[in-house]
Parts: sequence; structure tokens; C-alpha cells
Amino acid sequence: VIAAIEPADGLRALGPEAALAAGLCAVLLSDLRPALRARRLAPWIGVAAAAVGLLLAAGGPSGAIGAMLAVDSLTALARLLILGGTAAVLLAGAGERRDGGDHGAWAASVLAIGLGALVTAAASNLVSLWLGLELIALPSYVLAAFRRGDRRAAEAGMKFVLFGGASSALMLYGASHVYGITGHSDFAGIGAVLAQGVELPVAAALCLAGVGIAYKLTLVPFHLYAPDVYQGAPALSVAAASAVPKVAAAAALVRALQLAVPASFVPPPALATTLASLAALGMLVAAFTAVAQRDAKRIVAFSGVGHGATLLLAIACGTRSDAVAVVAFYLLAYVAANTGALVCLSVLEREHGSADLGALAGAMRRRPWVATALCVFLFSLAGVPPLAGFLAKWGVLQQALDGGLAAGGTPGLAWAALAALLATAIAAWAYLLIVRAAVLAPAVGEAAPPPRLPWPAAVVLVACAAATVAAGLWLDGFDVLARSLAP
Amino acid sequence: MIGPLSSSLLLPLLLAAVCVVQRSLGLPRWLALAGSLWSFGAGLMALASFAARPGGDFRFVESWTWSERFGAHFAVGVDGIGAAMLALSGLVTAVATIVAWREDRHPRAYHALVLLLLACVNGAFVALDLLVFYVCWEAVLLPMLALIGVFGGEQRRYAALKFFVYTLAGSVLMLATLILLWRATPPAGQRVAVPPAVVALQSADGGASLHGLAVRGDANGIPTVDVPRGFDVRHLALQWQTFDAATFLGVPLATFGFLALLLACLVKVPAIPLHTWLPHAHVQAPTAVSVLLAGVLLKLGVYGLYRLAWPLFPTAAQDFGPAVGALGTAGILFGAWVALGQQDLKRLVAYSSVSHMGFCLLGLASLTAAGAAGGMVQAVTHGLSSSLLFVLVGVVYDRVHHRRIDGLGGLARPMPRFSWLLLIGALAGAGLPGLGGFVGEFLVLLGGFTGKAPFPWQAALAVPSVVLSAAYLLWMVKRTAYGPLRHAEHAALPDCDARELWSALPLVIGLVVLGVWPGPLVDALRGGCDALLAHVQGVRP
Repeated sequence: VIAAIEPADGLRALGPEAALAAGLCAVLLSDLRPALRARRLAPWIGVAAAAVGLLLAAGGPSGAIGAMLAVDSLTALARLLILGGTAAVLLAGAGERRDGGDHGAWAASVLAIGLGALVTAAASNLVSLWLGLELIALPSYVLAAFRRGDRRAAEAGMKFVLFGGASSALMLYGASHVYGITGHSDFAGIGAVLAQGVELPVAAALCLAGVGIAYKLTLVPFHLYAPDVYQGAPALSVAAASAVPKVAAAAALVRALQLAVPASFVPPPALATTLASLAALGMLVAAFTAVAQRDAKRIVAFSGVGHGATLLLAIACGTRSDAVAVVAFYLLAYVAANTGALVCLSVLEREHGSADLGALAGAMRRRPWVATALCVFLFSLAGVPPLAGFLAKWGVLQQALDGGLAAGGTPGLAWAALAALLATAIAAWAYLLIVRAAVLAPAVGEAAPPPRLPWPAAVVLVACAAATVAAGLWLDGFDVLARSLAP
Repeated sequence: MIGPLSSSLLLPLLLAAVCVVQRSLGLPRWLALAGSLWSFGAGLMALASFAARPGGDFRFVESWTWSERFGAHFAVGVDGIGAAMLALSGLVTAVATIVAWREDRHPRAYHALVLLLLACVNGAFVALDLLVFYVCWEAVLLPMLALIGVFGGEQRRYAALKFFVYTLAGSVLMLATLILLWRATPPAGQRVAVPPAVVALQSADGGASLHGLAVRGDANGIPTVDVPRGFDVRHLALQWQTFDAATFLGVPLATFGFLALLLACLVKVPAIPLHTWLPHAHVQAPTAVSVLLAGVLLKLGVYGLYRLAWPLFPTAAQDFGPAVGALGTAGILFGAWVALGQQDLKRLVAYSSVSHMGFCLLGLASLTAAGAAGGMVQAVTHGLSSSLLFVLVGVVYDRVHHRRIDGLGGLARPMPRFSWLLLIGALAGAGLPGLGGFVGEFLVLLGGFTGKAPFPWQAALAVPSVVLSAAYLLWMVKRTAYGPLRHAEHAALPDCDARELWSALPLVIGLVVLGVWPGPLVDALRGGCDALLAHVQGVRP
């Protein structure tokens, strides 16, 4: 249970949220002045807002803000990742020449997703959780359909809206039942009522309420929108709408479990088994489907499904600080590699016309550094040592085996770990398909030498690659994160 | 302070970075040569130390803490086995560099990849920490994937991916084993008893300490050591009883771990029926990469068995030893039989690799001093002889642009030097006394015949392969180099030039030296092998 924060400190505790909100307003206002608009300042304002947010996140007070938000060490870590991921996407977009001067709308959408993710990651109440998720969802629809006049983008946006709207409605419906049955909408209060026994109606209502998070984590069977949306939307929009929301959703799920099941920090066996089975199903479905794809962004989409499922497995293992450290490390690895890979794909997609596997041929010759960086990110996503993705996967597997094999543990976790190993081996093939298309396939014809890579994009790629390699060697990372997460 | 072993890992990495950063197209090959000769020198020096003073201890140990919590260290050190492998990888990489001296497609990337590969392979050969070993073992895949996939032949992408997926599947199992081993060991470390024979063989200072741990006698005078939790392979081997007692999903951990490591290693060796990636990879790989593949990468699998599978799970190794020996024997015969029918020179040499590497499995499985040492000698000499054959196949291919045996013939007339070298390579492969190949095969068969049942039977079954390998290799030489000149346009083929001689001669010299004077190598290997055998046999005499 988190101590309440002094009302006077409330605004200081919400510094990062305030910074992003201010940045959002500034971007929208700057977009109204044609002079400012022409100078394409919007992404830079966004980067500045995220940087200020990072500064404010460092020293703010912590505690519960009413029954709505909780600012603690978990929030702090999630904020770092969310702000870092948002800044990276904005920076990569800043160097991009965009037709039609839509920088303002684009940057505003990315910032709004970041703001929504911050709220979600701090939510301690079904209402604030729903608000945060909606704040992520609405600008995501805009980003997905950003290429006006492109039929695929329109389809992506439409699919996103329909799926997103339906899942929001389901979640709200479930949440209202939870409130009606338990009389509480805050996680701690709900948990206290549930501790006296879980009956079918409330369990059903909780399942409905969980749909929102499942949707954001792209868990099977709520993942079906992801591949089409990823394929239709520009790669940079996908970067904004994939990694950061996953951080938020994972943090929210951890917080909900921590507050609702406070005593042991280990989910009851029935819940753990359910989550582990969902995770195993998700990983296997994602891996097997990914190998059949012929578009790099669709593969990345299914990779997101698989990684979301792996995160769920990590969360199912418990919410002690050392278990959450594994989740946090996994998120760090995922944000760095996923953002990096999508920035690379965005560069290649623009120059090759599409992210179709066949269209990527010759990328190695045209842009050797971008193609090499893409390989680093893909191998990290695949879990090849010594990259961050390997260590993250190692942490989750160890956690799951610990939970599954210990006396009195949940055997389902160990089986899910085995499924994760199988899925890793299969999914590696899918990542290799992209590597093969971009690096090994011969170039078709001679193309003009590409323009210089804009320096902001290069900075993002170097930063993501450095994080991917450095985190992969940071064995003590789990301990450091666990210490910072300890109450 | 960086010592010879860690420098054989770090220097190639550094040189690889230099290759990529600098602009000259001519410098990278010199850097690759320097890096490989450096690790050859480091390996020879270590080998000399073990030849001069045989022992089962680990020398040139360097250790830096990587993670306190996991007990992980960046720890390197070698016994005779590791030293031999390090020297081999340095020599073969130097040869491969000379073979690719005139590589004109992306020379900077090419030599950087070769250096990266060398660093990873060396890392695996000298690692004392299981995590370091695993990271290097896995990382080998990436440069190899690029070397085959970018610089290979027409079907290179298929071959590269097949290679990658086969070996990755094995590696995933190794990862599971790693985590289970960590889970099985008690967090505070434990005190384990060590048989006096093992202490005597593996201690570097006459029994006062063992692998950096102080040896104390317990109440009955049996030596014990306090083993901390961690990933040091030497310390893990001391705790084999813990792995015997632990279970994983109802299976003893020792059984699961042994089979997982076995699978991971057998893919690389390769043993039948896991060998099918090898002919594809060889045929599609450029000559220099074939040399690296046959000379160095296949040895990783054998080395993994010697360093991990047998020491960590000695009881399972005894239980499954006959099966592994049978796999080895089957590979010896099958590889030779299939090689007999090959029309493509590279496929022929690839299948002969399957056959010759089977001897390594049989030797180790027989658990005899001669067999275990012979298996390692075979690994070294096969590295030299198969590299030589691949170099020579490359020489032919550069001139006639195909590798079909029926499209060659009578090459001895225009290319006498080439034909001599080919004959030497074939005879070494066939195990002619006086050349390196004989020593390994003889020791393995000796070990097999003196081992417990069923190893004498397996050795007896393997003997005909000597005839078979003489048949397919010498028949190949006959059809390629001798007889009438089958194609008139071959009459004007130039003989081996200086670069080609430079790439072949080190291997020929190595084969001759090991053939007539194998003593130092066998002495150096024997220490490590004896220590391994004492450990494995000590658990169930």
C-alpha cells in the first residue's frame, strides 16, 4: 500500500505528465502559425518536452495521488522508458522529410501517446487506467491512418478504430460490473473484496476489464489487428504505437497485481496458470504465424505479439521487486530493439517503396550501416547473445523455471518456459527472413546512391544499438533494477 | 593486465573494428593475418607449456568479475585440449586469410567478419566461464551466417539459413541447461568431496588448491573444497552429484542436461543424423569459408563434448557413452560410404569430414586414455587435412570454375605441384602412417579395442572405414590428377602460384610434423584427457 502524497506535492509528482502535456499544447499552437509550421519545429518541441519530462522525473516526490494514480519506483522506471522511447521516435521523425508539412499533427499524436502511456503506467484505478489507455488509443488511430489517400493506411486506421473501440467498450463494461459488484474502482479496494472469495460474476467482469490490457499487450486472441495496422501504417508511427504502449500496459498490469494481491506478491496458482497458458499460447501462435509472413512490418507485428506474451509470462511469475526487475529489463531490451528496428525499417521503407520482403533487396549495398544496425536489433529481438534480448529472455526463463519447479510452485510456469524456448527457436527463423531480404538478397539493378542519413535518425540508431549491446552485457542489471524497485 | 589468452579474443575484435573503420582495401587482410597468427602463437606457447610439463590443470588463467550475483566471470584459461584448439584455430584462420588474399568483394567487411569469427571461436576455446562460452558459441553463428550468405555460391541463402537454424535449435537447449544448472546449485555454495585421484591430476600446486579453491581434508581425510555458486565450468564439474540428484519435469537433470548439450554439440560436429546442413554449407561457401568451417567450426562441437557434456554430467556420459560411440561409428561408415559416391569435390570432402569426425566421438565415448587423446588428435589433424583438401579444391575451382570430378582428369601434367599437394592431403585424410591422420585414427581404434564392451565391437566395425576412406580419397586423386588429360583446354592450366603454395604449405608441414613426431601434442593433450577420465570414471568405477 502506497502512502498518500501531500496535495501540495501532487503537481510536482506529476512533472513528466505536465511536461508532455505542455509540449503537446505547444506543438498544437505552433502548428497554427504558418511561419513556425514551415520550420518544422514540432518534433523538436516534442523532444524538448520529453527531455524536460526526464529531468522532472528524476527528482519528484513519490506516493499515491488520491485513489487514481500512484507514483513509485515502478512508475519511475516506466517513465524513463516511455519518455526515452517517445523522444527517440520524435527525434527520428525530426530528420524525416514529410510531404504536406504534417509535422505538427504527427508530433502531437506521438506526444499524446506518450502522455497516455505515462498515465496508464501510473494508474491505480480502473477509471484512470481506462483514461490512460484511451489517451494512447485515439492518437494511435490517427498515426495508423496518417498517409492520407493510401488505401492500406485507411484500412489500418479503420481496423484499429473498430478493434480499439470494441475492446474499450468491453473493458468499460467489465469495469462497471467490477465496480457494481465490489463497490470499488481502485485496485487495492477491489483486491480487498476479492480476498474474501472470487465468484463467477466478478471473475467474468474482471476478464472483460482485462481485455483493454490484453489489447495493448497484443495478447492472443486480441492481436488480430496488429499485423494489418503495422503493415499499413508508416514504420515510424508503428514505432510510436508499439513499444511505448507495451511499457505502459505491462506496468499497469504489474501495479494492478501488486495492489490487488499485496500479501504474497505471487499470483494465486489458478491465476498464474491462466496467465502462463495465455502466454504460452501467444508465444507459439506468434512464432508459427510470423514465419509465414512476407512483409517485414508484419513480422515485427507478430514479434510484438510474442514479446507481449513473454512479458505476460514474466508478470505471471510474481510481482516481488526482483520479479518486476525482470519485467523492467525485458521492457528496456524491447523498447531499444523494437524502436531501433522500426527506425531502420522506416528509412528502408521510404527508399525502397515498401517494407515488403522482396522490396528490401539490396539494402545492404545501399545503406550498409542501417542494414547492419537492423540486424543487431533483429538478433536482439530474436534473443541471440550477447545482445540485450538474450539476457532479457534469460531472466524471464529463469523466473518461470523458478516459479514452476520450486516446491509449492505452479508447474504451468515451467511448461510455459519450455514453450518459450520452442517459440524462440521458431521465431528466429522469422527474423532471419528479414535479415535475408535486407542483407543477403542481391540488389536488383543499380540505384542512385542514397542521400545522407539525417543525423537525428543516426543518433537514434546509435543510441538504440549502444543500449542493446550494453544491456546485453549488463548481467548485474537485474540486481540494480531490483534494488531500485524494492519498496 | 591482459594475458595471451584474453588477447587472442580481444585483439581480433579490435582489429575487426579497425578493418571496418579505416578506408584502405588492402590493409584488412594484413590485419586478419596478424590476428590469426597472434592466436596461433598464443596457442603454440600454451601447447609448449603443456608439452614440457604435462598436467591436467588449467594455465594462463585470467579472470575478471562480470556479475557478483550470478558468480559470472570473464574467465579464460586452457588445459592441453584448449591450447591445441586455440593453436589450430589460429593456424587455420591464417590459411583461410591467405586463401582469400585477393577477395575483392567488400574486403573490409570480409576480413572483419573473419576476425569476428576468430574472436568468437577463440573465446569459446579459452572460456572457463559457462556464460562466456555460451555467448561466444552463439555469437559464432552471426559472422558465419554473413560469410556464407553474402560471399557464397548460388544457393548461399538457403545454405546459410539451414546452417543457422540447425545450430540455433541446439543452442536453445544449451541455454535451458545453463539456467537449470544455475537453479540446481545452492545459493550459498556448497562443500563437495573430490576423489584424491582427481585432485592429484587437476591441481596445479600438488594438491593444495584445486581450480582456485583451497583443498581441505574432511574427518576421514578425503579432500573437500568449498565451491561458490557460479558458472565456472571447472567448479560446476565438481558439483556433478548435485545435478544427478536434481530433476527437471520428472527427468534427472543430469540426463536432460547431457542430452541437451549432446544435441547442441552433435549438430556442430556434425554426427549423423544431424549432419545434413554440412554438405550444403560447404558447397555454397567460398573456399576460405569452407576451410574455416571444416578446420575450426566443426571442432567447436567436439570441444563442447570434452569441456562440458562429459565433465558436467559424468554419470549420464557413462550411461549414454555406448550410444554416442555407436553414433560415431555409424557416422564413420556412413560418411565414408556416401563420400564414395560423390561427384562434387566439395561434397566429397564434406562427407569425409562426417566420417573423420566420427572418430572423435568414438574416442571420447570409449573412456580410455588412448581413445580420448586420440579423439582430440584426430580433431587437430582433421582440421589440417580437410583444410588442405578444401584449399586444393578451391585451386581447381578458381581455374576451371566447376568441381565435378568427371569434368577433370590428368591435371598432374599441367599442375604437378597441385597434384603432389592433393596426394598428400588425400593420404593424410586416409590415415597413412607418417602423416597426421594416422595418429588420431590409430589411437582411437586402440582406445576402442581396449575399452569396455561394446566399444571393441564398435572399433572393429569402424576399421573398414580406413579402407573406404583410402578408396574414395585415392580414387578421387586418380580421377582428378592422373590418367590422360581428359579435357584439352586443361593443358594450359597454370600450376599453383606463390599465394596458393603459401596457403597449403603450413598445413602440409603441420601434417608431416604431427605424423612423424606426434609426441609433444599427445603429451599436451594427455594431461587434460587423463584428468577428464579420472573425473568421469571416478564417479562410477
